[in-house]
Amino acid sequence: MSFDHLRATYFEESAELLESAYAQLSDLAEGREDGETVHALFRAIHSIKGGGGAFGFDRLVRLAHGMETLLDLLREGTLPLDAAQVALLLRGADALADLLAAERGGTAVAAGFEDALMQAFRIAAEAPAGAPRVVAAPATAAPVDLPEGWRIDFRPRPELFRNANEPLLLVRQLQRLGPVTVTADLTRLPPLERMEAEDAYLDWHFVLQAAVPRGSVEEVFEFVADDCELTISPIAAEVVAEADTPQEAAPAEIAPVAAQAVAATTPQAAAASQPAAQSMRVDVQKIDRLVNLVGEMVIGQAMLVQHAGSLPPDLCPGLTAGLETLSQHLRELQEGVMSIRTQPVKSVFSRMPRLVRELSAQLGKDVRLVVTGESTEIDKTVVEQLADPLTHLLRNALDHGIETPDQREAAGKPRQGTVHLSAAQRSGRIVIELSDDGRGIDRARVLARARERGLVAPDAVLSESEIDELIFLPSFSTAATVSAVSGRGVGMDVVRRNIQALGGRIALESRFGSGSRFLLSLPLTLAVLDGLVVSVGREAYILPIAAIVESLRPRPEDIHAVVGRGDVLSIRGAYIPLLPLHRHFAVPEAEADPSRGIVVIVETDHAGQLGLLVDDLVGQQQVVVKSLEANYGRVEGIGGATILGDGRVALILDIPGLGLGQGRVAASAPRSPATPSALQ
Amino acid sequence: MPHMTDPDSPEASGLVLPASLDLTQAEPLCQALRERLQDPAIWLDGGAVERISTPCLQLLAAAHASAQARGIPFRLRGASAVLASAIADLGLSTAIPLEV
Repeated sequence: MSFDHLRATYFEESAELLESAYAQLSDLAEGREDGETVHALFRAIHSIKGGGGAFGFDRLVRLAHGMETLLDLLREGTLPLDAAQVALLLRGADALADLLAAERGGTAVAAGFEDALMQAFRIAAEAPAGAPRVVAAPATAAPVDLPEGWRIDFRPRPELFRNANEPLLLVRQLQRLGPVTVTADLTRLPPLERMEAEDAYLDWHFVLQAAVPRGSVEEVFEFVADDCELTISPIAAEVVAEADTPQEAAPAEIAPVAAQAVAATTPQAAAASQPAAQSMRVDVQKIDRLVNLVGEMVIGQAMLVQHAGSLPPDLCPGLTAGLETLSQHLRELQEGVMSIRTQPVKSVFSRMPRLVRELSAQLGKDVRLVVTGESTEIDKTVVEQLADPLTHLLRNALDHGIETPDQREAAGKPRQGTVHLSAAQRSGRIVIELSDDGRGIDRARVLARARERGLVAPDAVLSESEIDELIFLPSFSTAATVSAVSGRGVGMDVVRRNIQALGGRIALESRFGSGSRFLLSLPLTLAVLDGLVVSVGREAYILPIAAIVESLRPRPEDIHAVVGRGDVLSIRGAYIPLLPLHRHFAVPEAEADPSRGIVVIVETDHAGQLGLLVDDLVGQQQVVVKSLEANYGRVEGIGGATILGDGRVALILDIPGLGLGQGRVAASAPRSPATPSALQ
Repeated sequence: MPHMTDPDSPEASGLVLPASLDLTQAEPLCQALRERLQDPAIWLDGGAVERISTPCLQLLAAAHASAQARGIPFRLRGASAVLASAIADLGLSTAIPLEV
């Protein structure tokens, strides 16, 4: 292994270690720590320091050493853990991240960058005279002391029930460990009229009065861990006694854990509970080669099926059965290989707390970031390209959405604003939600601004969602004053474009005065796509299934010509613009009469619904996406290409791209060859 | 969901909860309860319940809260042992009061 390779591995590992360090620091900040948290944090920083020493990153080593010294005192219990120390350690982790990034990118960090921080570590470690110090427990008293009981805060996510989880069974399993006091929290329960029958709204607080190991409690919740927010904290004897009241006791009476719990477990015990590594590092290129190869196999298999279909069925009865089995195994193989490429969104989400910390300090706001569903997995490429749009949305939420503490108080809100970032898998897509409880969008002012800029006709009546759409317009967001006026708008067109480039969609819901919610829906992978094969002349095109609303053969009387806009299709009282694909791509010998072809209605983000005129529908199939940009060049309205079972190349349509150019169709000349020759 | 008339309250129609109140029953139960919210009083018979799930209990809790908010009397009578113990185990005795 070369030195460069070792260095690259060190940076990758350090990024992961830092990620886990941030997670542990966030546990400490939220009071979710147990005896293991500080030890795990110490180990992460120690590993970064160890590797850094080997590569001669002296400043990084000194800084990590300063953090270690403080952590050592905390894990021994010599120093009590408080919010100020967690904040200091967070600053330390931020500085480590900066130093690592600088070493990795070969850039210089200003001299003395870490001096103030080092000084702060020294002062904290020395602890001023008179400051409370916890007397270290004698070494003999350390081993595994079980707490008197456990307090469990269980906050299900909406999908908990739909994922076949049943809280009743959890309670009954807990009851097997010992007496349980159950408090149901109905705060989130909406009125019946607004409820989704299968969504979970209730939270529970359990107090288990049994001196059992944490693992036994965690085991009860093992299968719901991904569908809930769970806090398990040990409770001291007096708290158990206090909680020994009839059912549905007020939850506020139960005190949180004593900080000494941090020192309760010995490092040896902690190390023993650490599971062995179950993963290995593989070069991404190797995985990509595998993905490509499986893609080729899928195409080969499609060809085989097509040839077999032309044979008389009785000729080779075993062949059909064999091909079916092959198809099934190939699909499983493909899913398996694709899943290797996936990684948790955590790698992006973990960058957000720092952004929130720094921005809120800069803006003088008090903001809490709540992150859920970070273990949701998505294609690596999608994860990498999510960072920019998410950062932008979060920056907007903090800058323009969340008010200052005084403004919030005046509006009757808590001084601290909350931003919620979550990810979940829903019907084959990943949905990322970013919501804030800030001031929301002032639609009246957005509309006024749009009218001023001539983006909306003075007499046009716009629905709320149409007004929200205005902030995604490029010409709208370039206005420097918009952010101050509407609360949103800077660069939102870029965010939408980035998300669309990933095959995703972005939607916005906002209520003036109470906050905004952005919903990002993204495909799990960019490598395969469920598509509808359509024919136009002698060409075949693929339409992404996700974009299709319906397809029909219109009657001649339903087609109307509009001057300067081409034809429109009248359907159920609405008029949908028609886009004849043969004219768009200059395909000869295609059906020009809509009433003799097929109109496929697709949903576009910009232009609403659009009717694509094609000759015929060929069939639905999963296609392997080949990049057109890498092999040929970018063509507006085309998202990629694929190879069909008969060996022909078919272009995959990029519906948003088609929608954008739609207004120019009637007047414009054909814009691209039907199929680039380089791919044939 | 079967309906019946409350002998004590002729203007209010009651709802007999079915034997199975699992997740698949949440949507029909939700609809049935929403319709009942239009009545001057709601009464439910829980004697036949043999199978219960948290989503259905959650709906009963929401129905009770919505009824209270509208000033409509809400009564859940003759709860089966299965129903009563599930309500107690999930700490919902106040949210879903049982009538003996």
